[in-house]
Amino acid sequence: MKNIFIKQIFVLSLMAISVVANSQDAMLKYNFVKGKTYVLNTQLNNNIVQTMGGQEMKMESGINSTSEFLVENVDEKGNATILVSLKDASVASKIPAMGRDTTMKFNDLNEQTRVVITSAGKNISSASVSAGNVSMMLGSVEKFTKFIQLPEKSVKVGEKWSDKLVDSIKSSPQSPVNLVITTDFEFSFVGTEVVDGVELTKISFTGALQINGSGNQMGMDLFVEGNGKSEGVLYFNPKSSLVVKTDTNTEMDMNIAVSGQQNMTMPMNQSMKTITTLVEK
Amino acid sequence: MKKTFLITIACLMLTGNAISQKNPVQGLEQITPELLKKYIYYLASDSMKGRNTPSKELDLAADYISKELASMGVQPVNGTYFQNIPFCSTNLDVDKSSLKVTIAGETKSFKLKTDFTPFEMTANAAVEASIVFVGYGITAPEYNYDDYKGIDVKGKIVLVMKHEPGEKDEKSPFEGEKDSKYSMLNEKLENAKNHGAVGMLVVTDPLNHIMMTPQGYPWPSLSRFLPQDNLPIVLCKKENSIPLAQVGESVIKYLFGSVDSLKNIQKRIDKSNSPASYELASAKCELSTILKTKEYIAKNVVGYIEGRDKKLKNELVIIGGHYDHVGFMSHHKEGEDYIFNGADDNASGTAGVMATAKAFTAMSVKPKRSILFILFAGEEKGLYGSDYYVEHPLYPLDKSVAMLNMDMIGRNGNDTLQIDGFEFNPDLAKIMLKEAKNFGLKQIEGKEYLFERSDHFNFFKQGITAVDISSGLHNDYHTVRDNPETINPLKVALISKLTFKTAWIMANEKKHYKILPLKRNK
Repeated sequence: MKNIFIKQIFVLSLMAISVVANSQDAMLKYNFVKGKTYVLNTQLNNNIVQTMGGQEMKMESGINSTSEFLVENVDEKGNATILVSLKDASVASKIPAMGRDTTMKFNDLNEQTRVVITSAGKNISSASVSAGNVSMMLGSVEKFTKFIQLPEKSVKVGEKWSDKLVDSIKSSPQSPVNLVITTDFEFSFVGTEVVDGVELTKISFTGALQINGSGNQMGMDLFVEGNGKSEGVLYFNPKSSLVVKTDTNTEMDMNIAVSGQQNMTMPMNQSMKTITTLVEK
Repeated sequence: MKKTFLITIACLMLTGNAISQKNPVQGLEQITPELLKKYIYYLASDSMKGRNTPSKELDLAADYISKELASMGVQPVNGTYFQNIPFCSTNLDVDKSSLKVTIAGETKSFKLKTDFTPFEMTANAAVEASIVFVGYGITAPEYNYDDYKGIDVKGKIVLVMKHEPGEKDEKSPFEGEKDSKYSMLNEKLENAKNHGAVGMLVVTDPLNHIMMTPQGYPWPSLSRFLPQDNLPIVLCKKENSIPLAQVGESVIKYLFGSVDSLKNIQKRIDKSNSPASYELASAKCELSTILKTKEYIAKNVVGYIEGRDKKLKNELVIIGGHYDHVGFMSHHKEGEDYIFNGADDNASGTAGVMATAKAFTAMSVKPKRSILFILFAGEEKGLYGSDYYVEHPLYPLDKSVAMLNMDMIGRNGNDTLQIDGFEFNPDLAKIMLKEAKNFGLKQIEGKEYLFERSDHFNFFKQGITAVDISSGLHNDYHTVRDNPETINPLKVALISKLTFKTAWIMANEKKHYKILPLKRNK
């Protein structure tokens, strides 16, 4: 019997990609206070289009998640040790052409990662404390908590700075491809803006992404290559010295190849809109 | 006395015929677990390397099946047991494919992959013509929308945007946010050809996307990362296309001045839901998409038993199943099982067809209708063997009254049976469901979602009553664990007997069998 499940295996791996792309705009600068807890809400809408023979198959998904950041320690250099707990998540997915519509909710997950970052946002270390299937599916808590490194100097309106990062994601049962992702972002200090009655510093950014990867599943070799663009804004609260809101649009064109039981190569487009908000608990 | 004796003999012969027609014991006795086991162990042995399409091991399997059919007395068709199927894999010739655009006498050459990429549906051809922008390239009378209205594109290259007006507008006349069929590229290509265009360039609709890269098709020859031998092997098709490529930002800028200019045109179209097509008066385009195609041959194995009825022998009952599987893992660890033996999928169904053929040849009375046995290649690649057969039938399809397909018949409980598609084949289902119980197959179910996933479906699409007979899915499906020792030969025998009995009944009645339309998602 002909196996039509092959296409579905890509979805999970791409969820991981989307989260990494998203993670680049998660935070700007940190002035975490020992003992305080912050709550990060993330809304991610993700559209994947696979094309074959001029026909398109669309898959839509949305993730709403809540994570808590407990600042366990801040050392004399300003490096913060933070326990990040993924608390709640809901994942909705839809394949309009197949009439499939699924929503999954996960409460009180408490899947945790401990991260140590510099005051500029540079990641010193991260280690999983407790992980389960849900965080794996969402791209892992660890990936959620990678922070953008910011210039360690005061910036003026119109000033630009860049952040280039090469990251990797190891394969897992949920995402069978080892991925290498290169991101090259340029940030620009736009000025100040009043949002919900609070004066915030607005920073815009654009970025380029490149992705390569390979793996194996069910005896088939899998390959991924692609590139993308990202653009959006960050809002930085100078009083708390925290990034309190981000709004990002990311689009990636990827090529997927499978060899083994079937030889197949297909293009894929993935577009994501991500909004995050951070508040003190 | 002599007369009475002759009448008695004649009566006995007629009674015997009547009995064998109703209960074909001679045939049923041929279908034994031992015979089926022999076939399965041969076809699913490691030496068959998973019977990939195409492969020399698949050819070896075809030879084995044909020799077995011949030894039973099953006849070849047109002098051969094989129907050759041409398969092709196609790559882009990067040295000969090119795009040049001339505006006001100034010619600019564009680069493959960074500026333009042909799609897999492109023609192996080169074309030179002027360019006409035709918006989304849609002609949709039901939405009162026609990008080609008042524009002559005969002999010209059309430039179209992807998708459709108001793609992300829930109030769009094109079915809101849901894609209508007109958003699909193959629909735009057909429309362009119907209007006489000789080439087509495609751009990403800039209003809804920030990536304007010319993605086209991911040809391995354009990639340093994707494996070069990773081309799909598909049925060779007759050339019926035009050069077709996606173009990126640099081409858009050259033709429109900027991406924003195109975005503004798209905004106008979306807002007014009316086309904004026009000829790019001074623009000439040379588009060359040259392909390198490698051809392969795989074989359907066929065998024929002619019916005995003068009229009904022109009609056929087809019994089939695929004999290919998915091959083996090219990369594997030392000592690791790497062969997808496909014992259940579908050495079991192949064995079932062969045993059914043996049962028919063992009958002292031939059926009224003729029987055609087909073992298909290329099922695992996309039902290609049966697709090719219905496109190139050896006997008229309108004389083919039924198709019984056996696919994976050797697993799960002794009394279980799965008949996919019986709700769409009520007459056939009636016969089969009644007979199944006589073979102890009492737990019968059908899975509608599996109905389109084996070779019978290509016959059903031609209006022929057709079902897939199976023992159902299991955890070893498409794994290296689908080995001969996991097969229950008794189960294979029971399902083969049911198939033989059903085919026997159908081959001995005049009736034609009703099918019902599929319920499909729009």
